[in-house]
Amino acid sequence: MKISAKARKPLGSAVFTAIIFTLIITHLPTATASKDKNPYGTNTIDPAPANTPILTVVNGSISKDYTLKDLQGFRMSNISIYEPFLKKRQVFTVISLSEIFSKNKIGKSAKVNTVALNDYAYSNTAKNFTTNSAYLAIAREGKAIPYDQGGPIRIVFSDKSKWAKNLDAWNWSIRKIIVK
Amino acid sequence: MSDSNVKKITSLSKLEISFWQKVLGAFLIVGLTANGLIDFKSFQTSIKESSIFSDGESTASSLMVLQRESLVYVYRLSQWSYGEISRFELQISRALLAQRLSVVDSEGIVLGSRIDKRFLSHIQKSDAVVASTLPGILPENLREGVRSQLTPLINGVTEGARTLTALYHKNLDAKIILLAKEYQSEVTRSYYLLALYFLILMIFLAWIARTNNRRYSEIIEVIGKEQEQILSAKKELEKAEIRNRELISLDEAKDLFVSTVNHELRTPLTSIIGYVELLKAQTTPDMDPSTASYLEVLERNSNILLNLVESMLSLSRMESHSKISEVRVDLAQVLESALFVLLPKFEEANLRAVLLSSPEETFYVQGDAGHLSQAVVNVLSNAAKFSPENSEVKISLSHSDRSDKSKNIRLEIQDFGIGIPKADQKLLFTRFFRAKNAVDKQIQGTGLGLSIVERIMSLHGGEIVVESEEGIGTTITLVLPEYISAGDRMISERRIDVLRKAIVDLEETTLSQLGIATHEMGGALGFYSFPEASSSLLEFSRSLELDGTSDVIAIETQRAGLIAILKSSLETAEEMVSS
Repeated sequence: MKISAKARKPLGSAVFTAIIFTLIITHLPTATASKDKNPYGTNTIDPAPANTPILTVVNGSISKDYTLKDLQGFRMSNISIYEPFLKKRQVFTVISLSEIFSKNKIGKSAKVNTVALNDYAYSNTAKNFTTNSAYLAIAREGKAIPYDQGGPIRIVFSDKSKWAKNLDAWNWSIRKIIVK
Repeated sequence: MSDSNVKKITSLSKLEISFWQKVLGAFLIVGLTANGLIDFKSFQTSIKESSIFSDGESTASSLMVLQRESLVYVYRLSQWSYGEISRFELQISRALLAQRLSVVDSEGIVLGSRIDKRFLSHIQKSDAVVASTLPGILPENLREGVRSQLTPLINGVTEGARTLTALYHKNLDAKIILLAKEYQSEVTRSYYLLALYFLILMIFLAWIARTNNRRYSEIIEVIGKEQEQILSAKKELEKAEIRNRELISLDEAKDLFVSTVNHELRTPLTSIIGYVELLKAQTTPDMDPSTASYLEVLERNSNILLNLVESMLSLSRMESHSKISEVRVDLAQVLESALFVLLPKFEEANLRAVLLSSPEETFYVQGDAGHLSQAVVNVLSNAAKFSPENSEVKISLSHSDRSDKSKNIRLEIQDFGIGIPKADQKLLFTRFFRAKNAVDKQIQGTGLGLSIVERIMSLHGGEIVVESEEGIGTTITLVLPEYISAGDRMISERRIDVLRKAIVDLEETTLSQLGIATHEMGGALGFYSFPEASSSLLEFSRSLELDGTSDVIAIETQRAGLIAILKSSLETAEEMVSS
């Protein structure tokens, strides 16, 4: 089929546009692959009331509140882990839970209860949390973790940990750590 | 059972398994074990990876959590609409609901995409209502209006949350059915595999059985043959026993017959010989000379016949006797008597009897003088019969040692006659046997003489030895054990008792009494003619007295040596008595 000279230019542009469009479409982030936005979330969230701590550690009669700034005072590290709920690899800024236990004089045999914002709780001994490399994640990809993505702080485990597949222990939106 | 058969059966009894059978057996063992392990591992993995049993990751459990989060959100909406919580707190609950909706389940599907679109729509509409208000607690004047907007949405979300239960069960049931199908197919696969292994096992066992069946058949065959041999041997034994009994009975009958016949023949023969002698005595010179010669022939043949009958009778008597008298017989005297009886024969042939024995020595044997006399007469008679005229017959009587240190008496009678051919020597003691050269030379004889001598020697515990060379001569030796009198036997037994007591005393005597005890024992044993034992004991006693040694070990060693000497003497003495 012979294409006339007149039709060549618009046809070529159309083909070029189609290719670009296809490339864009296939590389558009999907709802499941979205890093920045939860497709099931709302657009905005009110800021937390002033001086509201994001973590409270209760050990017997002693209660200690931590703001984000307080938590940033612990030794932090960035680790790449496989997030088992979204089934993708992400880089989290973490604090070792053993440091928080140590700071709050929580012994190895103490029974520790992690409580989420919606009152979901997971309990185990401090020793088990420590030996299974439990971390408190305070940021993801260098940014604050949105509430609808398990934030502001959540419990994570390294890939090599035996609890990496123990999803009950991956408590997100942590609010309190209570020693029973 | 013979040794060879025992070995054969032992060898055949071992289970034979060839190389390829071993390979098959190993395959079965390894295969079954591996199959079992794989099945177990697979089951473990299924349990572990089963989304039914793991919480949090399975679709079913995620749906349940979503349901809970939805109902919590609905509750928070209601609280906010009544001013009980701030908008921030409501938003937290909404954020957690959003988090749950974005979870990717074990099948790789986002949870939010599984649920009803109207459910999501209700949630989004409620978001719009919330967004239209200000942060913080909802003002009172707005609450009525907000509630009227939220009520249908709340009902819709609640209804949607309820449908999650059905979805949960549907998903769970689907999972269970899938797992059950997987399990069923695995079970079926296992059954087929087991059946295959079972089949291979049967083939394996049948193969081994077939291989070894042949061996077992061979074992049965060997045992069968052995049994046949035993039965056959048993039958042969029974036959032999029957034959033996028949032979014994025949023998007894023969003996009786011979004895009867002999007796019946002897009587008329004696009468004939007597009357022939009477007739001879009545011959006168004027009678016909042929009459005298007829009478000579009659007498000679009658004597021959009588001799034969007497020999047979004698042999018959020998064979029916198994025991002889135990009196002392002077063999020298027996010899003298025999020579006297045969003197006419010796004179007739001008034979010289040369006696080669010392007259001072005694030659006592134990037995029956009459039988022994007959034996000596028979041997001397043969010597005279087979010797040429003007030759000599050498006779010697001597002692010889026996192995048990007692003595034998040997009577040797040597002639220089025709001798006995080598081929005939082994048949000499067979009844009625006559050597070929004797028959050829027409020398008279019954063939019973040496049989009688052999029997007599046997009854007396002795033997007859024949050495002969045809054309040179024959030496016949009669060997008999020397006589030990009852008195001598009694004395020997007494000696033995003394020796036995000495041994016991020597073993039991204390160390302090050993010197005196051995001195006394030595004296006693010397009196009872145990010279070796006596001198050993006396020497030991002297050494104890002189040396005064207190070396216990040395003394005990010597004591043990003495006991050994005494026991050796005892053994010799007992053998002499028993002989």
